Amino acid sequence: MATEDKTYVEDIDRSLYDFRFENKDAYKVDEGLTPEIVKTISDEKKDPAWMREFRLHSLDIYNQTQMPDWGPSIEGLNMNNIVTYVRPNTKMHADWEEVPEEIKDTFEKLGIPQAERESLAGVGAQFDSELVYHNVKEEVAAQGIIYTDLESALHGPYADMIHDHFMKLVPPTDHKFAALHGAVWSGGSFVYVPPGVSVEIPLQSYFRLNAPGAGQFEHTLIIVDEGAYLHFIEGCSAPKYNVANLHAGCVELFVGKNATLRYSTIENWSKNMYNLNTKRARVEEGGKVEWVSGSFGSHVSYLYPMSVLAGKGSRSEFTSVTFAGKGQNLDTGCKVVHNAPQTSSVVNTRSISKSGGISTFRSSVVVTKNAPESKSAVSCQSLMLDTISRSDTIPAMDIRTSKADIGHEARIGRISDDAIFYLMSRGIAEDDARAMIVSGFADNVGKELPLEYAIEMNNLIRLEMKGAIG
Amino acid sequence: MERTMKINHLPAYTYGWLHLNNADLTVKDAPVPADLKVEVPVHVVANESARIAVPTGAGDALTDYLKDVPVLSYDVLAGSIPAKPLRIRTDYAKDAQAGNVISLHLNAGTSLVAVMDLTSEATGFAALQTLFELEEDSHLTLVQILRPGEQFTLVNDIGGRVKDRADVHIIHVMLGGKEVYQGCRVNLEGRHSDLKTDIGYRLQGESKLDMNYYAYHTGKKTSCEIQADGVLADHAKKVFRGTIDFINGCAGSVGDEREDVLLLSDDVVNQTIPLILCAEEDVEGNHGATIGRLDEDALFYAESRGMDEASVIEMMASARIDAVIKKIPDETTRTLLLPKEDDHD
Amino acid sequence: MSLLSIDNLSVSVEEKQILKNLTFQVNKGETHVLMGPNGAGKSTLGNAIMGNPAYHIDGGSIFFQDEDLLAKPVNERAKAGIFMSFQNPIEVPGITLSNFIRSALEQKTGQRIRIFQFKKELEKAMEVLQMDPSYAERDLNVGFSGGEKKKAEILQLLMLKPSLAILDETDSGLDVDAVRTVSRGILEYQKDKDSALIIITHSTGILSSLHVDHTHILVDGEIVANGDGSLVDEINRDGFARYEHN
Repeated sequence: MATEDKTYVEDIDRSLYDFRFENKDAYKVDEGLTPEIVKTISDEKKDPAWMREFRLHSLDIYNQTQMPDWGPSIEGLNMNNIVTYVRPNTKMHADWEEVPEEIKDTFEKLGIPQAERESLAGVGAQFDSELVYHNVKEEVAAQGIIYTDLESALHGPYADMIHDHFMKLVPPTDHKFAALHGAVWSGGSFVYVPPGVSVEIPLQSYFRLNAPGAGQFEHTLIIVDEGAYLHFIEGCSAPKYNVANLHAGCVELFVGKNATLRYSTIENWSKNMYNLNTKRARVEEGGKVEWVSGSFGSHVSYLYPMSVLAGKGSRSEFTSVTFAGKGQNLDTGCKVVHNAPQTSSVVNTRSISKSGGISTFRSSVVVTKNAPESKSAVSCQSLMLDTISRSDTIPAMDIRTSKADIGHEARIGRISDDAIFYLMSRGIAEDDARAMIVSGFADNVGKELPLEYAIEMNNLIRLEMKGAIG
Repeated sequence: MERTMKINHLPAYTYGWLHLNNADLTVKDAPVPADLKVEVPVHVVANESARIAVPTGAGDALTDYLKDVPVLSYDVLAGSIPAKPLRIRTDYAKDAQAGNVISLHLNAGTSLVAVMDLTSEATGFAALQTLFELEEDSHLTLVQILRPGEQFTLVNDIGGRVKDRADVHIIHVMLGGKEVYQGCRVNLEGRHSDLKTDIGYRLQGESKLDMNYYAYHTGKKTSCEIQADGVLADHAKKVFRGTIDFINGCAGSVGDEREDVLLLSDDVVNQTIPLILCAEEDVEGNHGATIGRLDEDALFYAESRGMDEASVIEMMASARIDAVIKKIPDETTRTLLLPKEDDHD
Repeated sequence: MSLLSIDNLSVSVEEKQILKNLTFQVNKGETHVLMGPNGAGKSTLGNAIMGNPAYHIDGGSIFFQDEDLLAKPVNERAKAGIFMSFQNPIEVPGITLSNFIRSALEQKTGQRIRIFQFKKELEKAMEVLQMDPSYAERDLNVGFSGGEKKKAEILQLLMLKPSLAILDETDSGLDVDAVRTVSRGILEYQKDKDSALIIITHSTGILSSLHVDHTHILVDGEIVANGDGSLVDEINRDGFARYEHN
């Protein structure tokens, strides 16, 4: 197998995530991307005819679409070397005990089933390209909530619903990697929350990319019907190999009238991952989407969850933290389109750059002529922890109605010597003082997460802070 | 030879669909220098020096377009502070295809106010490029009033270099025109060098204004303050690019950027992209933008004193531009632009 | 005939009810004091009379000179003769204090104002308030200290000559000298025997030099006590505690 040393990055001690096992028996398609490979994936997944066509059409678009002329370099990613489909040598299970020992061991180490026992309404675990485990608590299922893998849903009673929504929000024409996703997507979840149903405890999906040089292309489709409420949590990780991995997932969220969906992500891909993920929500009248996002892993990220405020009075809240350490170029942010009257959006982001890491906050807020009486408030703050790192802020606004209130604030700076001095004068060591200040800085996200996740996030920050080299 | 060039590049590109990465400028022909009426104060001399090699806000394509235009070069003599401003006025002719380059060199310890007032007939095209180099401890105030005709396209480009403890204050008042392209790049190279800009614009009808302000910090303890206030009415379209770029090594530098836009019609297009690029730890950068209708508290306050909504909005719109005009240090220019106190006695 | 008549007024802000079924009247030339602890709803009353759009009228009525005030937009209320001083007046770069007052006067009267006479009157009023004449040519409230802003509000009161003035915490944050100056401005306003006043305050400092006809104690959105000027002295002595626990 060809390796690309270019994408090798030195790393902090992340042994918690970096264990891996040799999955020799797994089924893989050949490297690279041809119509034959796409057909093979389609056969393997027993796609309905429309889906097979959709994949091949997407491949055409992929071949015709240019790479973006902005953002971090993705030169190190050689598509001809990426294995698009890796199927673990196991079927999907609803009983944790039946999941093969090695895979189970991986997720146990990551604390997934433990988290489920303690605080989740349902869990899906994807290993490479396929879901290997899926379980929903009985009382949640009894409310009529559907939480399943997308492939089963394509053949089940919700097949039409999938057909009506799949890649309608993120069409393959959106950008090159959306087209790629359309061609080779595999795995992911389908969630449907019926009208008026409120899921009190979060559902979770966990993605683990284990195979080296592989791509993960899971598709998440969530429909929250009128007046319903859901909190969905997504976690991602992968061990580190000396070859680039690619994640080009796609998340499509449909938030119905007066419904609310909170979508939380703690992303901790290994530091050779190209994370080119696309997330988008469409919000109907009176509905609300809440994005909570922590980005810690990946070599290169392009990640801008988008909210399309399509219904009158719909709302979007976006809260994120991005931590770019050595060898990382994390280009993150969000997009909001206000396309109905009286819509509102709030964006609150924090970026941290350290040890040569590059973090970029990039956003766009568009208020169309159809959106009078709309409001948007954007606040982004960046922290530079040393002088070999980089932090850029690139926020765009496009306003086309006079009846709008748009506010924007950005700030970039460093940890003040006074703050360090103050904490040290109370007996705290300098390293701890810095870690404490950085954790506090990232608290906008921390306080939005369930406790276990907030703790995990703080652990990640602590790890990154201790990994000081520069 | 009609051709289209890309100018006003965003220093870091973003999503293509926003169409903010640069602007297209179409020129019909080679530029012909327009007649400039220049009042040169005592202690300032015109000379034949070569053009200052410094990047500009509009960029290399425009510099290349103007490369054969003779440069009008002015030197402020060492140890002097001219009492009067350097005044440059021009009224571009009908269907002009004009291009001019002005170069200002301020010797160490000098100080100059330069006032440029550009007006034109209804139709035509003109490009003006102003280059400057500020030696140690010198101070330049550059005032540019852009009042082109309704169907006129005007490119006003600036490129400058600022050395130790020198500073430049740029005041821009922009009113009208079919298309106005404003480029402005200042390299803050010297220790303690400063840039301050006050920008005021009021656009109506079908006017388009495309701006690119770029503060490039390399010196230690440099500072920039970019303030832009504007009013858009009717079908006006405006793009504001404002960049603070902290290059590694510019320790102790600060940058601040504020934009305030009042939108008076549902047919306007207001695009704003304020960048902070940062490769240095010991800096402080801020930007803020407020865009939209008149603040409700302000409206209520003025209405509570008996004014109707339309008058309040007109008053506030004029006030924005007048506030910028009031910062012009030259009284002649201020008087020219500020509304006369209409006495009814 | 009463100048201002408030009947059963209920007001809410951001869906929270602040004033509950408030009733009271102000006659020509009277000075009313509205007192109460923080958060009682005192400022809400002023804003409701003036017509601040952030304050929603849930019920009741306000009549001014026998006209339904609630039907009028803010500027019409001002033209009808109502003035409210703001706790935090806005800053407008680009328009001078003098031009602002002149524009307001022209709109209010519907007539062009002769500049010479206007300037003379403005100078006179500024003298009463011990304001440096240069303030007239400074941009409205821009860079004014807290005390200067209060004086600029009273200056507008003197120039616009309303028949009812609502002074909202005009004395808060001022030192003794500034309170004295502001009081002098209010006395100047009261020289016209028809001028009515509602003074909203949670302290009593500003009242020592003014004649007070009626005092109302507002607690939790309701008037819990009415009295004459002597009620001010009682509050001065005992505070609001007696009214908060009933």
